Amino acid sequence: MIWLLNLALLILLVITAIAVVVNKDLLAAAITFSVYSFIMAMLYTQLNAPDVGLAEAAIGAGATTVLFIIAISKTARREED
Amino acid sequence: MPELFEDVIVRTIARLLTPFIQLFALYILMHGHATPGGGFQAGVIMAASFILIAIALGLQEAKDRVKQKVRLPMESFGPLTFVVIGIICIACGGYYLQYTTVPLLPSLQAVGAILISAVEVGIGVTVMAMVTTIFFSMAGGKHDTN
Amino acid sequence: MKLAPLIVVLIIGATLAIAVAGMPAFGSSDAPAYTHVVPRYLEKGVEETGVSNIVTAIVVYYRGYDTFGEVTVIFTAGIAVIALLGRE
Repeated sequence: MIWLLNLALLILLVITAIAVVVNKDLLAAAITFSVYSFIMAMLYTQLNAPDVGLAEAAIGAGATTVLFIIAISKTARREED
Repeated sequence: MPELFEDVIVRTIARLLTPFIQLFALYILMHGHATPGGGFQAGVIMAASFILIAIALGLQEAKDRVKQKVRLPMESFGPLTFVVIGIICIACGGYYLQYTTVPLLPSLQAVGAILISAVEVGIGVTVMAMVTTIFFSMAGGKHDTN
Repeated sequence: MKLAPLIVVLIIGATLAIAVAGMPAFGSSDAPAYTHVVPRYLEKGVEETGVSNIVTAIVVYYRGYDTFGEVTVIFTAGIAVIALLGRE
C-alpha cells in the first residue's frame, strides 16, 4: 500500500512544481516552493533517507523560503512580463 | 524584516518554542553518530530557531542572542576544526583525517566516535553562524521601502 | 516562437522516459550503485570508524575531503555575503 502514498506525493509534487513556475505572484510562488520542499522531504524520508529529509525540511522549507520572502519584500511582489 | 509582528499569540509561541527547537538541534548534533542527523542539519535547525526569533520578536532581539562578535569567529570554526584534526591525524602517523590513528583512548572505536563528533560540532557551528549571518545581512540594514 | 522550446522539452522528456526503462528496478540490490564499494562499507564501517550511523561514517570519515570542501564552500559563501551586503 506504500505505493499509494508515493503516488499521491509524487502527483502533488508535480502539481506544486508547475504552480511555482506558472504563478505570477512571487510571494505565492515562494510559499508554494516551500510546500514543494516539504513534499520532497516526506519523499526522502519515505525512501529511507532521513538525513536528506531532515536537511531538506530545514533548508528548503525553512531557510530558503525566508530568504526568498526577504528578497521579495525588498523588491517587487508581482512579476512583470 | 521591516516591522515587528505585533501578535501576542505568535510572540508567546515563538518565545516558548525556541528552547525546544534549540534542544532538538543539539540532540541532532551530538547524536549524529548513532541516529540520522549531523552537523549540517543541526546547524540549519539552530539557525532556524534564530530566524524564528527574528521574525516573531524582532530582528534586534535575535541579534542580541547571537552577537556579531561571537558569530564571526564561529564562522571560521568548522574549516579550522577540520584542518587541526587532520593535522593531528598526520602527526600521529596516519593519513589526513584518518581519525583512528590518534592514540587518545584504548579503544579504536571511541577515538573515531569522539573525533567524528568533534568534526560534526565544527560543521554545525559554521553552518549556524553562516545561515544566521546571511539572514541578518539580508534582513537588516540599508533597504529602501517601496 | 513558443512552439520550438516545447518541442525540445518534449523530446528530452520522452528520451528520459525511455531511459528509465533501462534502469535497475526500484530499490534493487543488484543496482550498480550498491555492488561496488557499498558492501565493504557496510561490513567494515562500524569496526573501522566506531560510529554506528553509516551515513555519518561515510560523510565524515571515508569522504572527509568532500566534507572539508563543503564546509569551505559554506565558509566562502558567508564571507561573500558579508563582503557584498556589509557587516549588517
